Amino acid sequence: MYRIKKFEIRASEIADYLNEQLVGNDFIITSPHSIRTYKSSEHSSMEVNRSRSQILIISDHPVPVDLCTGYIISQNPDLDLAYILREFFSTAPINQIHSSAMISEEARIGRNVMVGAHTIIGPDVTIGDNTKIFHNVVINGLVHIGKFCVIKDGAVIGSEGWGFIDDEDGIPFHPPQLGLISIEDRVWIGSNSTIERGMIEETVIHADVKIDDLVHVGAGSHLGQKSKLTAGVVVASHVTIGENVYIAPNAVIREELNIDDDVVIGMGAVVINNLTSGNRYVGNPARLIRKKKRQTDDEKDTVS
Amino acid sequence: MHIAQFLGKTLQGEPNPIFKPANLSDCGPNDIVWVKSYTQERLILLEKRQPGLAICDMKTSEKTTVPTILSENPRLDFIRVLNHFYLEKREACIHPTAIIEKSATVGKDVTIGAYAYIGHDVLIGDGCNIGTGVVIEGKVCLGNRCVIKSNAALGGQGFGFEYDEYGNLIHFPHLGSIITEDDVWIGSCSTVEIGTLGATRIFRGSKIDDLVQVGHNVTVGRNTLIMANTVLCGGCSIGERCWIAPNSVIKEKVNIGDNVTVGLGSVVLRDVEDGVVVAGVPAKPLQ
Repeated sequence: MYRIKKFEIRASEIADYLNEQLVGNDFIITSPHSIRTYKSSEHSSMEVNRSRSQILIISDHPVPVDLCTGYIISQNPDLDLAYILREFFSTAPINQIHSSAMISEEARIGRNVMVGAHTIIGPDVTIGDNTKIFHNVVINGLVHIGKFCVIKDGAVIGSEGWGFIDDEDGIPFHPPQLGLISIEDRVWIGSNSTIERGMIEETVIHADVKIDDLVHVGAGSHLGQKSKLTAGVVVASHVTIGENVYIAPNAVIREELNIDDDVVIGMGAVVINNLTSGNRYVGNPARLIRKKKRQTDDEKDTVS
Repeated sequence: MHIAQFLGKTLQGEPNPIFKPANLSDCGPNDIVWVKSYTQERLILLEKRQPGLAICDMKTSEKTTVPTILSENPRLDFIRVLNHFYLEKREACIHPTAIIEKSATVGKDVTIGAYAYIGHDVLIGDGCNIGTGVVIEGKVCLGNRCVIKSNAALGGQGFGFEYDEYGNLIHFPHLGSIITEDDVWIGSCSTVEIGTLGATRIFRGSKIDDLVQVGHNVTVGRNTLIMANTVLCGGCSIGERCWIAPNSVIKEKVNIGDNVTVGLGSVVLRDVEDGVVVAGVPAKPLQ
């Protein structure tokens, strides 16, 4: 989506942009680097901008002078580096509709929307302003998508829900799936993820929800604001998830459960019971981790 | 017999004409089959079906009446025979509906399927085979003879967010690259994310199955096998010749050594040393 841009900027200008104080000398910065790719440093909680031998470091603690030319103290170095990258060192694509995209004439598309190559958009779809839809995406059925959303390559939104019901002879019968899918503003949907349509009930993804790649969201589920679903998560049908929930990769949530606000679900967890607010759950089946144990775990992590 | 000559091995028994490869359970008189190792059931099947030729181990060869070629690894030799005699070599072609941006560089003999999208700055090596509906975008560099199966997505933005002062999630722009070396295989619907500022690297000969998610800045060593539905979180590193079983998760920034086996559905939270077998939730070493 983004492309890196050649740009030269003075260190003091970056400090001004972040509203922070520059410590050390002022000089010209030509490219950003991550601490992971810049090897000479042992500090892990900071990010590096490098220009030949001149380095500007954004860090949450003071840096030895021999390590860099200048540094900026920041409360949240990751966030500030993200701001700098977005502002100075990257270009986003122009939002336009690719000529090979197949968009139904009845679909309502907002202003400044990007639609990628070979993307298919059905007749009952509404898309808000400034949304980016990448390549090979399929959006079908009654779908409302808000503003500033990002839908990555190959995602399928509004495919027929699973919803089979056994008939008198025990043969699975597929009822028509007519439900609305409502995706609010600033939602992110990863590559090859699928969001299913319910029989009658709405599937709602509230504002600021972020969904990673290969996630399945079942029919009739509600995802609360600012929740994060990482790769490979499966949310079965009719699940209600609260706000600020974090679900780690490959977790599975059984149908018709309630997950309260601020819950954290561990990797590979299999959730078969309702979860209560603010707790962490891990394992198969998912169990509560006691807070004491959690603290010692955190301490261990910081020591190692 | 041509097959025995090709494998550099001796044929035992009558040379029959061989028309096609087949499974042991449904083979006929002019078929070539392979027998993994000796069991009573397999021997009975061989005697009943009487295939034209069997690639098998010493014990099966001694007991059967079917013409055989002795092999230490029958499956490997069978694969070699299939590749040499029975695989139709399709001519490389780029489907007319595929979209390739002008700044992308595509090597010689590359096959690109229908409705694929190759974005700006993409570099594709010689002899690659790219399936239908594949999306490759961003700074992606594919080595020679890579296979990308249908609907895979390479080079999407990583899942990196940071809360700002108001508690809103701000996306971290991913400006890095993906580098895959020669002979890499990426399965259907798998996704490989682009690095934050560095590179996501997949080294020579590694094979990634369907529905796998490879996070940003992940390193996959040479000749490693990663099975279906596995999730490799951001920044983790996997050594050479590892075997990661289906539905596993590797936590972010975890290092896995060489020759490691990770069991089915494991959740790996800590570093794993060379040659260890781990399994379970959370993954623990097995004796």
